[in-house]
Amino acid sequence: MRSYDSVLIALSVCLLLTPLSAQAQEVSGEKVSIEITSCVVYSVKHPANTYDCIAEAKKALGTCNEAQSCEIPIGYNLTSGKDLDPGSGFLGKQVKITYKCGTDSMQGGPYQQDDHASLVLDCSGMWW
Amino acid sequence: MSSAKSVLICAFVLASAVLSSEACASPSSSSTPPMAVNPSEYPKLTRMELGHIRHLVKLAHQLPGDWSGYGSQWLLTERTQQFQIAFGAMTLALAQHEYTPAYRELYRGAIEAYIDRLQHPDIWERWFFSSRSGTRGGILNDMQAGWTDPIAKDNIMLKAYLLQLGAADEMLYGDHKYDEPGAFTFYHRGQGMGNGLIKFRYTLEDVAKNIHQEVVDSGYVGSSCEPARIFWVCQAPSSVGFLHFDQVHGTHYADVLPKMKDAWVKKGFIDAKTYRYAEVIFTAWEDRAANQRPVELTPMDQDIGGWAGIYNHAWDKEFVEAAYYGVGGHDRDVALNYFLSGEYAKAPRAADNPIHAYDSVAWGLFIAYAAEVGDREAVNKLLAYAQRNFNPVWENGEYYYPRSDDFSVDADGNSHGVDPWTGNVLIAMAGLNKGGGFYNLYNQAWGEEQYRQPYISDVDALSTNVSQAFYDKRKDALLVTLEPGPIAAKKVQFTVRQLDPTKIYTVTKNSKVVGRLDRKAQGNDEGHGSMKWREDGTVLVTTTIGNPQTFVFSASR
Repeated sequence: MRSYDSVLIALSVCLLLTPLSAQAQEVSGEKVSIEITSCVVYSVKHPANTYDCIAEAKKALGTCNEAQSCEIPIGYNLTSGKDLDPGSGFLGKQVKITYKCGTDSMQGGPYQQDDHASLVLDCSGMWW
Repeated sequence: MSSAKSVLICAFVLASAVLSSEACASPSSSSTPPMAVNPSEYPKLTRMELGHIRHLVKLAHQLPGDWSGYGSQWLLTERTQQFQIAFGAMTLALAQHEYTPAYRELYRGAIEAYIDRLQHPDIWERWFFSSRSGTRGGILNDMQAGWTDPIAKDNIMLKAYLLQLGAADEMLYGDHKYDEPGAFTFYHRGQGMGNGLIKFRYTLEDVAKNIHQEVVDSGYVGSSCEPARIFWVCQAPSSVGFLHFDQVHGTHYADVLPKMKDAWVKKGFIDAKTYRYAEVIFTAWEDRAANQRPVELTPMDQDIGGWAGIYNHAWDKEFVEAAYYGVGGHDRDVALNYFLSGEYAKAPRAADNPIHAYDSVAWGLFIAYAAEVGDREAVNKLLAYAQRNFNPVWENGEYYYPRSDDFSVDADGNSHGVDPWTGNVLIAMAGLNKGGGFYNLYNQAWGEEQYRQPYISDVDALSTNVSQAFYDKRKDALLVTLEPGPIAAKKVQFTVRQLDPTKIYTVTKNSKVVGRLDRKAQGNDEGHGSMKWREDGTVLVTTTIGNPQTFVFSASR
């Protein structure tokens, strides 16, 4: 019983400290860089119709010079200017990007594919 | 004639000729005196109008997120701050254009601060609720996921005002600042809702193109307010926004305006003979041109019809004036009686209860509409009603009608209820608009000629009101009247810019000549030190301000 309690307490402490450790990394000056792990544009009506945009997203990330916060335009730049589902309009295509801040997995989107929009990927530690 | 006499005469003639030619060469004596300038012949802001302007300027400059004084009982999904902001800014644009074209900093600062406020999340994030739509109006069977971008699709209730204000600002000040990338930026930082941080960036032209395309795609019916709901009144701000945008950019977006009007008439949404219109057209969810269904047709000055008339007057003058009066003047008389008799305050709409404030907004839109079409009789009666019932206040030099939720009506038809949109903005707009003010704003656009004319700046707005600032091109004269502001000061200064350094200016103060400004000559009489040319070519003027002071800078011809 006693060892069960200890495990429970240790687990709770770990869970509580996980976000704090990331912030502590920032406070201590340890840089946590953004690593994009996936990028997909997909048709809302035809979910099987997808486009892997990881190369385009990583290219955009490259312009941020390893900053801890980076804006990734999520318009037609992600699909080489092509409309994945012609005629489906503004609401017809969505973008989802997953990325890592150190060991923590993050997600931006889904949002509509939008030439006026930029997802802000953020590893500054303020991700709550 | 003796030869001696002949010599004398010749000498006299020669001397006269020499003296005469010298006189012509002298700039001080050769130039024709300036043309007389009578200040009473020029636009002048009254004390009350200056108070209204001060209040609108103060509301513009409140700290981001401070909406003190804006709060309304009308709980429209997006709330009503954006409308107060937009109409407040356009009231200042009108005053700038009509009254003080040669004094810009106060108005420009406030108009641009209002444009900034339209980008605050408190204003645009509520769009997310509206974008989800739902069963109301029979559009959908349930709410949808919605979308965050406040410009991309629908929401003319925000983007029309970005276009209208941005284009007006560019027209007035000759600066293309809203053409810059990200001129309008919306940053969603939501923590409790949303799929991560996201920014939306638009230029003024992006917004103009977007609205234009939606008008075309709808079969020229218009851009939707909420999804699948197209309101006639909501098109008016963007329609006139197209006028200014085209004037500044040389485009032709405003070509859609008559096409839109024709479409409404042909589809029966406007009855051009009886001046009835459908306030809203419902459409299909996926296609704004499909399944368009109008609500019942009503008079165009009833309810919130003035919202459209105020601005559409600029491009559809005759029709808008005719619609205001209705056949035989009937509609105007009915509406005026409705608003003067207190009936408006007795008729809350159950669907949006409590909604008395909506009726106060309708009251305000009607007086502003009456002012624009030049119905001074109606404006004066309504202003008298406001003075009698709406408890106006002076506060730090500001004049306005504070919100009151007391919409009870006495036996004489008096009601004290006021919505802030009406009390802060619409009554001020009506008071400042002496008829056709918006028509002038959109049909007498400023350009390079106006941007190069003399004007004043660096006025301490706390100690000084500027009630006149007008450059008369024909007389080549700059007229300025300063009045004491809310903070007492013995002396104040202002700068005169863009005087022509090759000209000589006679300066009068309160009709007495106080000096001459001659940039080229030495030893000017510059009003005993009260005026000073500076290295940058501007003139610094110092004056007492205990009483109104009127200056005229008149160029010799």
